[in-house]
Amino acid sequence: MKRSLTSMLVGVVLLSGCQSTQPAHQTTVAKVSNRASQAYVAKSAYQFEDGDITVPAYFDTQGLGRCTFDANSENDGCPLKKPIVRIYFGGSDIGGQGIGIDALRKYDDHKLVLMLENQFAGVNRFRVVTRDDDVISQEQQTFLDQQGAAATVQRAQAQQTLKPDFVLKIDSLRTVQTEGSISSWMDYTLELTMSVLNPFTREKMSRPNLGKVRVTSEDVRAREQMQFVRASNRYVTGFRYNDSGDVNAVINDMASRGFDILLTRMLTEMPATAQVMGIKGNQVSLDRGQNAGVLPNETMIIFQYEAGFVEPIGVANVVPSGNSAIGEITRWKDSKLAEQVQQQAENGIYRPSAQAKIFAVSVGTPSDFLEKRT
Amino acid sequence: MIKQGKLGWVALLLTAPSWADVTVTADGMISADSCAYGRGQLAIGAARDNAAADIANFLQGSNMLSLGDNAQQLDSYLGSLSKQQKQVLIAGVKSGAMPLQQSSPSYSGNDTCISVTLDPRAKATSAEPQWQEQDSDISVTVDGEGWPNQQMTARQQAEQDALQRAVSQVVGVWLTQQRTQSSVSQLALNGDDEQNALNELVTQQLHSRSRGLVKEWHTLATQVIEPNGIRVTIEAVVDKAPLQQQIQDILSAIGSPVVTVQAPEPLNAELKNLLTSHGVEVANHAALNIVAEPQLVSNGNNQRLNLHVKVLDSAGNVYGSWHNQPSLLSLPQSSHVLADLISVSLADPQQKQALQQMVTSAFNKLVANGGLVRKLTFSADLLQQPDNLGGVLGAIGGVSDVSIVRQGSNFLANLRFSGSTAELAALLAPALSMICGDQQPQIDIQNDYQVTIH
Repeated sequence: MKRSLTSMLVGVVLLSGCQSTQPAHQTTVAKVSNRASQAYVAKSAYQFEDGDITVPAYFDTQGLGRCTFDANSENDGCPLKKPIVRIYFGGSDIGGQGIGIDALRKYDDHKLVLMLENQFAGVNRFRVVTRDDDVISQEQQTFLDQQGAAATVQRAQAQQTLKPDFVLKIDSLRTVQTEGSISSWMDYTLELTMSVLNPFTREKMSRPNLGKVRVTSEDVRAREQMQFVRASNRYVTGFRYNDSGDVNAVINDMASRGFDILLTRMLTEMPATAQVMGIKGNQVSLDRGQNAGVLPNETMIIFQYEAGFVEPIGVANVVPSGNSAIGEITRWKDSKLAEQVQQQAENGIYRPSAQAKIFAVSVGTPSDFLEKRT
Repeated sequence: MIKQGKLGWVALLLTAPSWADVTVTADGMISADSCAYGRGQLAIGAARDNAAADIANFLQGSNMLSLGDNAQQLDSYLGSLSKQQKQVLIAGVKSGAMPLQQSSPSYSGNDTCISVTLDPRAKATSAEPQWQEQDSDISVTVDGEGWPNQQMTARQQAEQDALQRAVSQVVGVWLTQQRTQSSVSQLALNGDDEQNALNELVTQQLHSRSRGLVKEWHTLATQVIEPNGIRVTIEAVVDKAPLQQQIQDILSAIGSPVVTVQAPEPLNAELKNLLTSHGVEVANHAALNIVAEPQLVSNGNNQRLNLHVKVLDSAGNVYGSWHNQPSLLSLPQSSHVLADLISVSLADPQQKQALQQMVTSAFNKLVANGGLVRKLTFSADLLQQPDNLGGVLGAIGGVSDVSIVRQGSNFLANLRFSGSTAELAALLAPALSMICGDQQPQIDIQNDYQVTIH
């Protein structure tokens, strides 16, 4: 009996020894955030450390040579070809019942579309066909009155409306809740997502993938400004939650902030790429500028691309002209390649070879963009 | 054009030095690099033009003194080209007829640069004969084929065929010229098919007059087609003035019928102006109607014009229709928006031309179908053999598409006639005597398309 017990124990030990080791842990639990979204912009090139100099995502160097920069007949193979889009802003339907819902429902989003068109046109990632029909028609009427039918026809035939490749749609979800009972405050939330869709194939394109932007009224108004008092279920004083004008003002500010965040994400998702023509000292010359969406004070990583491998060389602060750009390399990467290039550039103009081309890619939204452009 | 052999060219060009941005490659190509400010097709085009101008200058041999020692060498290279060869090359490069190869663009700062290469051995692209107003005649080269018959030999037949083809080709050239300058002509043709059809019609009419129109001709080549046929290639010189006059006469015979215009104002006045300025006669009653239907389409606060114009006869046959381009312009709603949109639509040369072409094309179609539809009303008492009415009318020369229905005490006949209504009335009287017995039919012309016989 004792012997058989011993042999059982040995067997259990042996069996347990045959079991596999701990499973691999490749995922981890994360909380789904419902906090308000923040804008992320590039660090100034002057503040970069050596470890910061890495090539950002979505750099696209293939086919840059095919670009003609002729807006109306750009080569399909050019990665910088700007799709023509028309912008829509959707989501005016607000569900639910409760305080302030009616005023929120009256919200007019047409002005927001026009604002969005302005901001998107400025960053030169898309060619925007405006939906401002009233202004266009009014101007055409004035042109007709002042210049006559023949001149109007000539102009209309020579410059026909662009044909959009895609529709750029902003979907929004607006919610409102109140806190407290007698003395309370309105808490609006606006969630924005952006899709690029082909209106004929109905395909929603996978890029740019800007995720979801969440803006709350607290991002644009102090809580005390949103407070109100009700008595016997009637408004007494404070924020006029039933006045569509007051509500529109808040929602407009929220949408404007949401667009700014979308814009910064787009500039990260669709970075500006240019080819380095030459480097002289710390000055770098790029083959495209505003025409490829390079913005003033763009932080760009300079890197060598050879046989599918990228090697960062430095970081530059770039200012564009119409068709080209000039940058100052503010920090060279601590690497052999960067040292070689720097040495050659110190003694004259370093011109990259055809086999190992040098490119510049923007890190994201220029550091002073939000301050100066929004 | 350039008779020198390839080896000769290469040997010749190898001796030529590089000249500024113009170089001569080992295989004999002349290449020039040039840059222009900016990006895109505009800059590429400017750079290409600069390079082409450099090549033309190089061929012309200008600025040779500045080349110093190379001048003599270059001089011998350029001097070895015959004057005619040089002129042909220079003219070809300048006019764009010589094929120039163009490299992919490269960028240098704000400039776009390209390299353009000329192959001196390439021939300039040949051009179709052109209708030059200043020349009194036009020369064409054509083939003709013939086989012997009882009256003529194979060669005579082939020559006759070639001469007819020569005239046909010149008619085609004239019609093409008219098409491109339709503002000076009443002719407006929709595409090649219609031009070919008209070309055929006119050539058919000129068939018997080919020899009279050809001023001179000579045979370039002769080829036997087994067993007994022959093909000749001739160069014929056609006298333009009589040909032009005869074509005009034939086209006038096809004619511009009288039309009515049915359209609300201000479109009515605009259309009448347009038609009369193009030689189309407008009347209050006519067999052919031009009906215009404008419709305003609203989009928010703005409106567009949807304009549909049809050419149809009294029987409802549609010979042509035209739609404007509604997307051309939209204007804010106002009391004058319709007038504004109509004036803009008709001020558009392309749309105006398309409308005019549609009307002319409708007239041509009308003629091709056998003429206008006429409505004849016969009193049943008059006809002793009503069953033969269709056969009698169909036998009248120029009449086609006869249909007859009985309506109460009358017989109604619809038919097409290629001449005028008066001509038809004149032909009716003797024809009807066969089926009217002793009664003498009285023929009343109501209007251009209605005739009563009682």
